[in-house]
Amino acid sequence: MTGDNIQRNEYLWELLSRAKSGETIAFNEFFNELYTPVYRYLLIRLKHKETAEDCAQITFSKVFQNIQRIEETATSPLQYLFTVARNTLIDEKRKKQAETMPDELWGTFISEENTQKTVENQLLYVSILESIEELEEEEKDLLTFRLLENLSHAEIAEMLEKSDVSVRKAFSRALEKLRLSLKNKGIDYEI
Amino acid sequence: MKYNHQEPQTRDSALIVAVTSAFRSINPSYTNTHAWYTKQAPVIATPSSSPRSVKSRYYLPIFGSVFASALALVMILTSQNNHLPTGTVALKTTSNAPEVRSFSVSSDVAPEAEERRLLAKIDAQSKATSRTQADESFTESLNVETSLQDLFE
Repeated sequence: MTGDNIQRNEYLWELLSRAKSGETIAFNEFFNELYTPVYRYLLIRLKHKETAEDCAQITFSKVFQNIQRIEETATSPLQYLFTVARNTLIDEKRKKQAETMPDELWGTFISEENTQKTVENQLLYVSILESIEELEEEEKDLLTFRLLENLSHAEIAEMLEKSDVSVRKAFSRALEKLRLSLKNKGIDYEI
Repeated sequence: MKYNHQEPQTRDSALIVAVTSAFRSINPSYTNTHAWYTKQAPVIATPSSSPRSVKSRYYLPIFGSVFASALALVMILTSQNNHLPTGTVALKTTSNAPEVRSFSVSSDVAPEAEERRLLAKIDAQSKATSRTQADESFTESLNVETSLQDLFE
């Protein structure tokens, strides 16, 4: 874990402990800090805006309800939150297995502000997100946890109940698949 | 198309940077979430973002309370005035002495006693004055009454 991550974890633990003692504002800060990554993770996995929002809400609701049970252990608040989000996602997918969830276009999720206002970047990001969609569920989890919130291999391994080594290998494999998929779309990331 | 981001350190660096950027380009919507969150865990009330004008904040409450106090005072005084001398002007008439029809100030304080006193005085005066004088004064008073009636009509 890097120095920045350690500092962030300490800050998040502090917010949680303040929230436990009844400081609503502390949970508000916690929510503001982590809503975006959780929502992005859920959107990448669900590709449906409304459902992703609902799941994000359920995730924070669960954390809020169980806040007294959260203990400062080896796991980081991010790890805890993403575990809750992942479980919510699994529940949601199970619930909606019979239904066909309407797909939305990736382009509608990408904000112009974040893409340096270039069409080329937007198209590239859409292609990347489409290629990620082709990956296995676990590979998607790996990529989002590792790249979206910079969780360590060890943390991800704990979340997915796997060994550190297997997570590293799976991550490399996912990247390789992604590279190949992008290459088929005419986007080459080979050096 | 070849994407080589700035000085990639490993084989995967460029791809990792691109994927991370793609993830972070996803724009979350806060509208619904914020509404849900404020309902779920309401925060401590904060001052309004659009402050009220000085006029509505200070003047209206002050003048409103002053006006309410004044109104209450008037109502109290009005209710008390039913038991105080009114000082109103009333037209007193006597059948026996029409010549002394005049405007007089009546008082609610022992009105019957006052009336009896006046009537006695008028009787005494009427006995003293001659019939001719009484007729003249009666004619005058009739004229006054007629002119007053014209005025009110």
